Amino acid sequence: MVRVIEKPLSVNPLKKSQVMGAVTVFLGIDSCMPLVHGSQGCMAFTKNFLTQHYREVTPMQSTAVFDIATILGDDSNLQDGLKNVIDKLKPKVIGLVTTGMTETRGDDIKAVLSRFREKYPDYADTVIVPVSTPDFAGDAETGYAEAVAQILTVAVKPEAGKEYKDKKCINILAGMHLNAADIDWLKRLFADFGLDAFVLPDLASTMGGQVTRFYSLPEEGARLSDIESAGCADFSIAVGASMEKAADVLLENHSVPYKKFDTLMGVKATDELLSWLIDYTGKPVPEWVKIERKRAVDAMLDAHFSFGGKTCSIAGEPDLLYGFGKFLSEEFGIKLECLVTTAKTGHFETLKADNIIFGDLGDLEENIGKSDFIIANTNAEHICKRKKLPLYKAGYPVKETLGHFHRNFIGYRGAMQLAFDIGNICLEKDIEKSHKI
Amino acid sequence: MRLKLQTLVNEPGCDHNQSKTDKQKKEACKKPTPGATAGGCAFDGAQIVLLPVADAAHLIHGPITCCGHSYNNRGTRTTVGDLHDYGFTTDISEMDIIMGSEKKLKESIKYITEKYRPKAVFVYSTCVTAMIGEDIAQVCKDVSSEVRLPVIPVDSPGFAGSKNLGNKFAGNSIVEYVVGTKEPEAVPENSINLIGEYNIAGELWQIEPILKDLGINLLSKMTGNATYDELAYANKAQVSVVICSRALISIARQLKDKYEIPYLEGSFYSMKQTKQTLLKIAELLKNDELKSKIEKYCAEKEEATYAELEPYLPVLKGKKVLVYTGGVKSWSVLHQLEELGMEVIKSSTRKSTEEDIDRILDHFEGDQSALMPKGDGRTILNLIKEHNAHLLLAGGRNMYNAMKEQIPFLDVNQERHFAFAGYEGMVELARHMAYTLTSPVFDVAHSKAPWEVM
Repeated sequence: MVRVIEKPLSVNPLKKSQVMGAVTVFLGIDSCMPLVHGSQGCMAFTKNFLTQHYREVTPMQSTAVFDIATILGDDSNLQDGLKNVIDKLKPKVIGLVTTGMTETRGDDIKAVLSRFREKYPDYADTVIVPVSTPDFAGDAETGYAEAVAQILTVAVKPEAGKEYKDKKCINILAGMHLNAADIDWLKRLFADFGLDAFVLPDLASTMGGQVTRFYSLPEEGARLSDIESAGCADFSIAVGASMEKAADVLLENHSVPYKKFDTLMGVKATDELLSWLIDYTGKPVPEWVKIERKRAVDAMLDAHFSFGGKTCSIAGEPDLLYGFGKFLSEEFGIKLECLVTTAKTGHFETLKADNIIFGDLGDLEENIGKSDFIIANTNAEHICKRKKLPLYKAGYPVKETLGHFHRNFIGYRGAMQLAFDIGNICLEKDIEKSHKI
Repeated sequence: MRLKLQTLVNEPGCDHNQSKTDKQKKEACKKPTPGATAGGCAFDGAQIVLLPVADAAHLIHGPITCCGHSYNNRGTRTTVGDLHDYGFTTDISEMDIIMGSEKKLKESIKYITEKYRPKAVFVYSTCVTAMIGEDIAQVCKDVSSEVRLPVIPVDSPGFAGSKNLGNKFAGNSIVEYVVGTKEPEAVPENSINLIGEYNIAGELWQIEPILKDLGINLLSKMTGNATYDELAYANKAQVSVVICSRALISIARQLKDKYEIPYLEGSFYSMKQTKQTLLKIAELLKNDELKSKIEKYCAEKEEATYAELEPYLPVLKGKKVLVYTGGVKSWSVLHQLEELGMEVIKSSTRKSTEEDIDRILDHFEGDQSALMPKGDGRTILNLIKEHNAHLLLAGGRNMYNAMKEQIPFLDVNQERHFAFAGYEGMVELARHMAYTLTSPVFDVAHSKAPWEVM
């Protein structure tokens, strides 16, 4: 059962807004400008937040809604914002993200867009994807899921990509919980099974550090042409329960079947993916995959001496929380004390934990029990300092830490990495304890 | 709101404002261009000013973006409490918007006061709660008498304007609701207020020892490492020293009007500025003895500092720097760089007052071309290339722009971990500039991959 702790406010928020989730998606698309429709701060805070998380240039813009415009609700800011972005940067895609402020005054984005299209027929080539993401509802993960679904609704062309294909095409719909290393792992795996995989969004390419010059728009992410032909793919894979909505868009509008993986963390979940790949392609398993599985199991065996009797608490968006929780409890044998997340219902309800809470980091702090360590974003550092507990950073934001985005959590490789990382935390606890008189 | 906005925008202490014609004043400050803006909103600015007061709680009345995306992001250091490490927000939902959320706000304030025992609560309004017409000032007043604690409304909806306007909103709340409400235990001789210093990375702790050595008492700090009580008795100081003029000169001016406390604008960046600021303090304190003490003290400190700087000076000498920062730093950092033998090619003016700009121009002997208005990442990088600059001094947002183009960089804004004030700060600044300028990593970054050479 998910508990909601009755209190009038949020103390040390875990939740980020839908705006952040949606903007993140657009950062993973080649030549795309996220345009936040709200006051400057909605964009500036989000930019600052994501810049620190990725340690990369994070292009985004704001319609800078100002006093008079706010009250009167005119659409000039939005029209001007779109025009200025197109004139100056010529993006192929604009991700138009709304905020609580513009949703409160009831802007009809679709109507504004059609007026914009009428007024500026020359800009017809720029794809504009409007996403409704008020920050008084949902969380970053719902905003992210909504943005992916909207892109597929708006930009996929029924006729695109029907030309000759020598390989089977797979859409990989990548959830917000995936790191660059996770996406890279999936790409390599699918390629080695002879599949042509298209990852949406592809934050590994845009925010992974491989662009070595200044850019005003994301480069090398998911390409518009690939998005347009996503409806002609043979299959979709949804990674994370939150990606089901986007997969449904392709199924309903373009009859692309899909399989959903609620998590790909741990050996068992990865086995499931491999079973599917073997069945679907009929191809042999690449040698490196076999080696990685052996190494993962070996690492887990090595680490398991310290896992017994350990307890942890985790805070994060639902998909991340579910993946960590399931893996740690069912494959490491670590007890879950308190889980805090940003949605009232979801898959995490199936986890065996003493305490599952829809809440904030304040709730985490109060229900931590006898946890040996915490998995949460950087903002939990204050709790860990007060409680003298180790923090394993995951989620958003991970700042003041180098290389987080290149840590691999999924697949056999991720299982090995986490066996080492979590294993070391537990091992240190044991050593520390043995020195206590 | 509108009336308040006009009072705030019309700042008699601001030359920039006074030199405007009536028509210019009506145009107020330039509005941001949709689709081509940078920088935060008024709420952001208000929070920046007040958050360092760490024995007070800070409650953000709005939807989750405002607190959820800004929480735990201010590099201010403090010893007086840890409430700036807490993010409190009403996190309003759709139902709150429809039904109103004043009750929720009231309960939130009570929850905080009972559970966290703050000295006071600052309550910030944001876009959405301002739009639905919540009477935050009234709620604060009501709850304040109930919980017997100061509950201070900060009228700061993001749409009202820029970050800078938000600084003023916060300043206004301090003067209107806080100053003059408490009595200090004692007011020693030579007591001053330090306004617009936020103890980023511990900079206050580089300034404090200097003042202590000279027998100058820091009565009230606004707001780096400040207690709430300190703000409340700031009216008892003899002199106000404004560090970041652009943000908080309005406080100093109001303290002068209301309590006849003279003020000066100064800086502790660079040895020259440190000395001048100290001398100005002595002058306003009408303390000649202090003046001669300062002369002697600064001479000794400068000599010692130059000795410490010796290893770095050869690296820094003649290096060209582009400075892209705001307010006080846009001119005072120039003095620091000059003392280190470096050459500044341009300095930004985007967050500077007219007086800040005059000071920049003084440095460049009136050369207008040295001023750099607002620019995006591309503009900054182009300027660096055009002038063959060696180093970019800017805020964190530009850090990755510089790294993408393999340009040595030093963060001089809020997220940094190093403090650059006073004498100690000079050495720290020199050290870190020398590190980035001589780092072998740039050789690696500039080298071609084997397949690019072949």
